[in-house]
Amino acid sequence: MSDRPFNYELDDELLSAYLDGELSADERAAVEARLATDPAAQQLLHELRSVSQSVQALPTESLGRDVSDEVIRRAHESAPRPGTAPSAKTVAASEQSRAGHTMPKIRIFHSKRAWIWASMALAAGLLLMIVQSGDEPAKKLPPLAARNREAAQTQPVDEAGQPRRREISTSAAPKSRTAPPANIASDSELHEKVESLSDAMPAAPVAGETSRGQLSRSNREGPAASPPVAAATRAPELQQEVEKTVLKSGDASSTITASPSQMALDRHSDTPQPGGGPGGPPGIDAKQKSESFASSNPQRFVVVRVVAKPEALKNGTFERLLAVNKIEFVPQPAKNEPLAFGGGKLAKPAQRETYFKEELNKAAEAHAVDMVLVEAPAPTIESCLAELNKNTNDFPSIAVNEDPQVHDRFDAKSTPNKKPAENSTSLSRFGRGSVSASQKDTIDPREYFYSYDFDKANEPVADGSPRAGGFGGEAGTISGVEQNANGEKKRSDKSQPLPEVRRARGTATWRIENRQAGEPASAGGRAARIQSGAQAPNQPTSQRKPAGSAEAQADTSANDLKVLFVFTPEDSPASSALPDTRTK
Amino acid sequence: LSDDASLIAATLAGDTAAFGRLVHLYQDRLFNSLLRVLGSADDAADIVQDAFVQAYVKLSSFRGGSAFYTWLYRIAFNLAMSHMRRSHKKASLDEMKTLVGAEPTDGQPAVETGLIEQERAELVHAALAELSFEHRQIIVLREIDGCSYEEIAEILDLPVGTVRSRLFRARLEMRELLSPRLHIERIVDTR
Repeated sequence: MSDRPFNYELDDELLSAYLDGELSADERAAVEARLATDPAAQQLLHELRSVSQSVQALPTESLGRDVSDEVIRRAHESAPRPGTAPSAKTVAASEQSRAGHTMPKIRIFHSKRAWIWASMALAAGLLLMIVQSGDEPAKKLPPLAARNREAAQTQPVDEAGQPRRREISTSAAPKSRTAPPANIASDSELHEKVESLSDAMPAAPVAGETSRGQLSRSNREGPAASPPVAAATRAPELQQEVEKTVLKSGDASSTITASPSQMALDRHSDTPQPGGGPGGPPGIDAKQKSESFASSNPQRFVVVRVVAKPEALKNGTFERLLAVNKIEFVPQPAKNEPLAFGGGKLAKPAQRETYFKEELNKAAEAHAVDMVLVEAPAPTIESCLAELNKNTNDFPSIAVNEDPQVHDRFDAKSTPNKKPAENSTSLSRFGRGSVSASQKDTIDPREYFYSYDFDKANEPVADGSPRAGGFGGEAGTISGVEQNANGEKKRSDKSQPLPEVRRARGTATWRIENRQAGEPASAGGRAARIQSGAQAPNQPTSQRKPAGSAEAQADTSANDLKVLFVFTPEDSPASSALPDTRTK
Repeated sequence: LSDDASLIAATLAGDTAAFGRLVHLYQDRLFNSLLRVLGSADDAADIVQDAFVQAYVKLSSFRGGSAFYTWLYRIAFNLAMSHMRRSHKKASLDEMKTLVGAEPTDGQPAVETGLIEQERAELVHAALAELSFEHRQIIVLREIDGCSYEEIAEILDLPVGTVRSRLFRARLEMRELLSPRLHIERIVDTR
């Protein structure tokens, strides 16, 4: 009967109602007429009746007890008088008394699944933060990041017994006139979150640590602070702002002291550094004088690879060249002193003498590679490069690689007040010969640029300590070969295998920067440089002028150019001699 | 009905014992219907009490245009439907078995007639449990409580025409569920 066509359904429905006596008189008559002639209808009626009787035949179950008392008790709890609306309180009490059958509470975190989902969401969020912070710059600089982490741990104290403090606030950039994209603020927040996260688990050598190290550096070293920020492709003006902020805070750091533990807090502060000079407005016309913005100039990095005659390396030709340009060597820090923070103490002379003799002996056998990191105003550097370029006898081949491997951070266009395009070409023009300017596989100049902090380095040479990079007669004993690719042995007691490099800087600006401007030797020394030596004719007057102007504005100027000179003996393959700074 | 009306009046006048008598009058009948609808004696007992409590609270809203019984059933079936929706379960066969006792004996010829009737009741109860809730409650109201279409329409808040068609479809569904068992029953009967 189940296969009965459905067009009979209406009539069949009447059969059901007929069974119940629920038809009108007309309907009942129609159904009875059909039943008289339709056996199928008779069969269906029989089956429907059978079904109905089967259900009706079910035994009657009783509750088995009188619930009237209980009902009345509960009813009184709900409403003292029948028909009165119950209060919410009594309703709740009533619900409670029913063993939770009818109104289960909503319990959000009482299920395992809720906890699992919540924890998964949290984990995903953390992973996202770590992944985003571990972007390209973080991958590029793992050794440096590690170095700076260590430097942070062994942060020295200054003479006052107070830890040095470097303040940096990338979040100060939004205070500039050009409103930066909102994402920079959130980005730096994100990085700091990751760092604080990494701080919570310092022993975990995970990717987060790398990013943390990078962040540590970016928050402690003035010039290096901007790369991680600027690494992301952002508007050039924005980069400029960040760089300025970085340098300003770097200037301020020498006058402000705080404990290292405060650094984390300081980074979160948006307060501009009190010592920071007024930065130039972003996107300012490149024609404007650099004097106005000298204090906020970002440092530029240049690698100069020089193939030198071995005898030129030995007799200190380059040292003299630097001396003539009033660039003095900075004493090497003593052992156990982190380079990045100097410590303000000179190496002991006896140690240095012994050391240099040992190094000389070893240098005789080793590859004679000399690296000198020079920080000086751009005109001075140009002067040096010009002299190097002229000296074809001692230096057969020169390659100038400006802003090596840091273009992603220091877009030349982001330094408008330095006329980057011009400078770039003007420095590159000093190159000649066959040396490749980009041996990126063998050396990462950033290691040196970022690691050696001139501002916080040792005392000046004039203060009487024996000079590692002394000039004149001493030059022969400490010339290029003495510090070679094995230079890291000097710091063998430290886990910083960075090959040794000598450092030199333009002294005039250095002294002034360190609030020692009262010394007249600066101006005098510079004047002597201009008048002295065989190199003087090599310097175009136009290049001297900026040097003089830099001196005039020395109160605020910085050594805004860092140059890494890499000297290779003429018959020594540079690639094999150069230390691989990538291998830690 | 007149008894119901006087009891209701007494209750509204403050005689709670009168309402107790109303409870006593209808509790088993309501329980039996809810048992077939919900499939669980415990659930049915709970809903019975809830329905009476709610009726007491709302008693002043009872117009008296229909039987108290119908009004009470409307409250009770609404509560039963809410309960079913909350518990996301329909009365399971297991619960039915728990309620009524032993498993069906797979058509084994029963010696005693009482066993045959119990077995038959189990089969029907199980078939009811397999109905949809809509079909189950309308079958119960019609076959067990003997409600008229009008009363069913009032209890379930449906048009009478809908009651008629829904009841017919519920019966057809019940027939499909019961036909193999009824066939077994016929075999048993022929012996």
